[in-house]
Amino acid sequence: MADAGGGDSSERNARHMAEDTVADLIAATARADRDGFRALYRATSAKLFGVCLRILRDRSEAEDAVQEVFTRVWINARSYDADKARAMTWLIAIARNHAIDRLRTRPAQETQAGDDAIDIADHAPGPEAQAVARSEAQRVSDCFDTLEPARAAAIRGAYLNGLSYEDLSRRHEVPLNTMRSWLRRGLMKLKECLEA
Amino acid sequence: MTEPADHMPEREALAAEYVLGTLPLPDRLAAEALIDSDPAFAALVLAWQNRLAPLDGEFAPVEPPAELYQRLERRLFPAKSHSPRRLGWLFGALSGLAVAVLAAIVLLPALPPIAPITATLTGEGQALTMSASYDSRAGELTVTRTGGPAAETGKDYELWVIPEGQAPISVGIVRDAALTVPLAALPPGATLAITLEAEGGSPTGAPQGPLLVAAIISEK
Repeated sequence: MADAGGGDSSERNARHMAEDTVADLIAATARADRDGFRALYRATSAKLFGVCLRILRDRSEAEDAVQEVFTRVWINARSYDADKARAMTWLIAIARNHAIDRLRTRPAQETQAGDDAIDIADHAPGPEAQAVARSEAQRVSDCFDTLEPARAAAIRGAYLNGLSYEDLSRRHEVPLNTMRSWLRRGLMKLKECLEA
Repeated sequence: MTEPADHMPEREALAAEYVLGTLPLPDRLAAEALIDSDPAFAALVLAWQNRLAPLDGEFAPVEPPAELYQRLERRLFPAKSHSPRRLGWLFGALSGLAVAVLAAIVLLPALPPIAPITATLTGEGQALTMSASYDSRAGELTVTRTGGPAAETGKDYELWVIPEGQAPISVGIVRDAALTVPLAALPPGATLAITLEAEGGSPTGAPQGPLLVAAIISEK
């Protein structure tokens, strides 16, 4: 995850400092330091609640999900490895995975009903989008631009809104297996572009 | 070093799809089990996680309700205990054993007080899931394996109730049929946990084997 150079250096420094703080707070949590855990909650709960809310589209379930996420963080903080992922990436992955697991336990129809609410959220990038290193966000955005628009939209919709293959095949009106191979090709192309 | 644009090895595709989140639950649980058992697969998942992470900037932060942290604290650190001894036991069980991570999940009972307390026992990277239901009027706890494999030959899944701040109490063995046992109370803060033990259960009456899945009972 090396920065690809460029970008405003003070912005990058500020981001790295914030990252260091979150990583430090995870380390404190791993030592069962409750004050550190509380500070970690204060620093990151809004972001993780935002993740759960966007995927689950239900406030009270998102609240339960965030409690679960922080329970896992409290229990699993020792397994965080700063060499492998940024602190926020690690936390958001826990939140996304839990929210998506919850979503997948719902009957299919409920997911379908939720589709209507998605488009609004699709175009509402958080203020934090600006805080991500410009070079990196730009690179991903450029690579998404190399994909067919529908394919790029499917990947983003899955990642950000928790859409399943079933949801996607319904939305794009293609058979599930077609959607799957279609999306896999998109991911492959995205990977090649990012690693070029 | 470049692969054909229309083909991705199956393993890698699964890793990418797991991170993307498009898979149905059984496939997700299978992927989570692989993460735990196959370091090469875990590395693929990590690479995809980092690759797609720049999209995380698009999740808009939303302040959770102010009292949510108090709810979380009450759940993790029940007032009676001065130190997280119960979690200390969980850490202890984890640290010496091959099973590296544990996640507890509690489904809050959303119904009136007479509704049974229900919880799903899970562990991160574990295909195994158990559902627990406690009927306080009948004083009966029922636990059923809802996902993952049966215990291997010569082993059993042993169920423990751990009242907060106390030693684990063996409740029974969960095999294919649902286990229903009498239990006087299942107070908030108690943990339900499944460990893998020798067939018939731990000979010592204390957990010996790895902790697989658990749930902490929360307050209503």
